[in-house]
Formats: sequence, structure tokens, C-alpha cells
Amino acid sequence: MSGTPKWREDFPIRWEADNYVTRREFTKFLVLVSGATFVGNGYFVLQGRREVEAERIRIEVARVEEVPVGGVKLFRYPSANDPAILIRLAENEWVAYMQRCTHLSCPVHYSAKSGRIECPCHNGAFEARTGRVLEGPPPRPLPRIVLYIAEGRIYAQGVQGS
Amino acid sequence: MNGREPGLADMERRSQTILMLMILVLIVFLIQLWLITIALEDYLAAHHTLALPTFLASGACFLVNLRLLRYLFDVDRKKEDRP
Repeated sequence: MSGTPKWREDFPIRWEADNYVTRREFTKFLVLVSGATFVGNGYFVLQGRREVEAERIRIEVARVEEVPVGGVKLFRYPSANDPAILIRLAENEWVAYMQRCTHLSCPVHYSAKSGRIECPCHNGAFEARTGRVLEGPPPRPLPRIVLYIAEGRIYAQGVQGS
Repeated sequence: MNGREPGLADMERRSQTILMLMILVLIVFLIQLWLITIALEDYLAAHHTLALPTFLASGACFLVNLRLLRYLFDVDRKKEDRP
């Protein structure tokens, strides 16, 4: 049997060592969180690689005669989870953007009357021709989808960052 | 006599060392938070240029923190070695 009293097992730290132990444990915890932050940063690298791979894919979005001037067509690009919007601004002028508002990811819609892309959630608005922010809380322009038109068909082939 | 137990001054000195280590680790961690914020902002803007540099810089910060942690274990070990 050891000479240590039973209560010492419940209170193993002397009060003089209290500051030392709490600071030491907090420092260890901080290093653990530091490692988690490093891993979290790695997530963006992997996600970026995945998106770069996905953007190499060319998909057919619509046929030219399918969308009238001032009309839109919704599609998914680069993956099935990414809503996008194709807009026919003029006879030979097409633009496409990711359909998520850069503020809080609400789906945006095109208003042919005002020539703007609008977000109904917080009244954000983007210029349809360039995707730049006109008003409201969105911090960035809409990411633009690169289009390729050939033989009466419109293809999406990559996303341009804002 | 000041009524202090033997080793109390040593304990205070080690506490100060740990406090200094804790502040250093915290500063490096704040740099990592700044880096991950940049990476997030870049990702949300559909750019992919800053993800790798911030990841590498964050890794370097983590290594610095690991080195500081090792020093912390050294401080602990010295305490245990003392008779």
C-alpha cells in the first residue's frame, strides 16, 4: 500500500502547480488546433484540384434556337450540384454564370426588363453583361462560365473566377 | 524566511516559460487562421491559386508549433528528472 492519501488521487495537482498545468494543457490543445487548421487548409487544395479537373469537362448546355433573346436556360455545371444560368442577351450575345449568389448562395435570376441578375434574398444585383456587383451585400462578382458555340450548339467549358 | 515551500520559485519560473511558449504558439496559430481565411476567400471566388501556398505556409506554422510543443515536453522532462 502506498503512503499517498486517497484524496490525493482525486486532486493530483498541487495548487502551486495550477497555473503551470493549465497553461501547459492549453498550449497542447492549441498545437492540436493548429494541426487541424493545417488539415483544413489542405481541404481547399484538394477541392481546388477537383474543380480544376471538373472544369476540363465540356458539356452541351442548349441549342441556339432553344433560347429566345432575353431568355434563360438553367443547367448544372461543372457537377450536378452546381446550378448555373445561361442568358441570351442579344441575337449573338450569350453569357452564363454560376447561379449561386456570392453573398449567401441564394439562387439568382435574370430580369430582362432591368438587364440585371437579381438575388431575391437580400436584394443583391449583378450586371448581366459582366457579372459585376451593382448593389446589395454580395462581396464578389458572379463566377462566369466560359461558353463555346459551334454548329448551333452552346457548350460550357470552364469557370472563370471573379 | 518567507514561508515558501522549496521548489515554488522553480515552479513559478516554469510557469513563466510555459506562458511564453503559449503566447508564441498562439501567435503562430493566429497566422494560420489568417492563412485559412485567405484560402477560403480565394476558394469562394472560384480561384485556385492561393490554396497551395497558404497550405504550405500553414504546414510550416504547424511545424513551428510542433517544435515549440517539443520544447514544452523538454521543460516537463527536466522537472521529472529533478531529484
